[in-house]
Amino acid sequence: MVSINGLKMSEELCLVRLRAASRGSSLMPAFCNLLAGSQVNIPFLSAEYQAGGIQTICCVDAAHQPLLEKLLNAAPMLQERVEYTAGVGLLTLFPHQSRLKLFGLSLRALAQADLRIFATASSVGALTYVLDYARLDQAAAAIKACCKLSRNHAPISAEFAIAQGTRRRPGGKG
Amino acid sequence: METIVMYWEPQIKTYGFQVVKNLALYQYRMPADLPAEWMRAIQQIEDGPNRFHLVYTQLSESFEINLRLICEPEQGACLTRRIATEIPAAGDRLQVTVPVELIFFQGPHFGDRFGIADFTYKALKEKADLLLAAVFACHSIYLMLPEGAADETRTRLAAAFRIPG
Repeated sequence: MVSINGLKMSEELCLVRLRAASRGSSLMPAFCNLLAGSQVNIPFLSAEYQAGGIQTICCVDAAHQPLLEKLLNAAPMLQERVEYTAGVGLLTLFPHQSRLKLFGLSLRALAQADLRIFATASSVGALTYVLDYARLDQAAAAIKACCKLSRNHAPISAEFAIAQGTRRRPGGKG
Repeated sequence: METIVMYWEPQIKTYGFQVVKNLALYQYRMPADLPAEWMRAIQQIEDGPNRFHLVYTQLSESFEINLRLICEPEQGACLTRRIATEIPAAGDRLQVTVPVELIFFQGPHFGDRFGIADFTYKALKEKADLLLAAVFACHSIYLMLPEGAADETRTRLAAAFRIPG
């Protein structure tokens, strides 16, 4: 068993797949600009640039899916290259301490539990899996069975929603 | 109950950029249901003091898990040998790219607020065409680049983001 300090489960998200046939396209800047312009956060994004084009998986808040569909339908460059998968969530383990052992153990544990792994990514300290939202509890149980969670720590669920907006600081330059 | 929190930042802040060069990218295509031989192969990578710099996967349309592992070349070579002991034909599903470079950075609430990816791509400008991968997870951003591209990329990013101190 390997030790981890914590597990975190996200709120419900929508997975968005984007593809481009050419790696030199401006697909990703255009996509990210569109989301930023509508104040849509991207809690997870991995974009892979290969000779055959760009493959991107990203996640946005489930509540943003209708807005995103509307925005992308109005963007000719993007609308034919996008697919949506509703009902996904993030399971984050931390810290990974760059250990392949933790990655291998967790990947096997999730596969053995017959959980579909849409995507994975490491960050500086954590390892994040994109899974079916409805099965995040089951995924957390599978990880707890193969990793030693610190004493007095339980998987953390998102218990509140964050809505974002922009205001100029009164009297400030920003 | 609603709580309103204000976070003011006139220029997006990062805690600094880190560059790692002379890395190897190992790309495996694995069946998504991970049959027994792949389970054993993954078990092989769990043994030993193996470390990664970045690992990510994507589930493809053809229902394969595309595994990307960026690590020191000697560690990756050792891993491929181990995997080959379980799956002799695994080499057919492997692509190695050496060398690659990584630039990574993190900042306050990067994963929790909108506009960070957009700001990053704008800072990169046409250099975004050089990217091999871009991974935004939690509060971190990892950019994988071909040999010789990381230093100039860091210069561009450093001109856009604010580094305290």
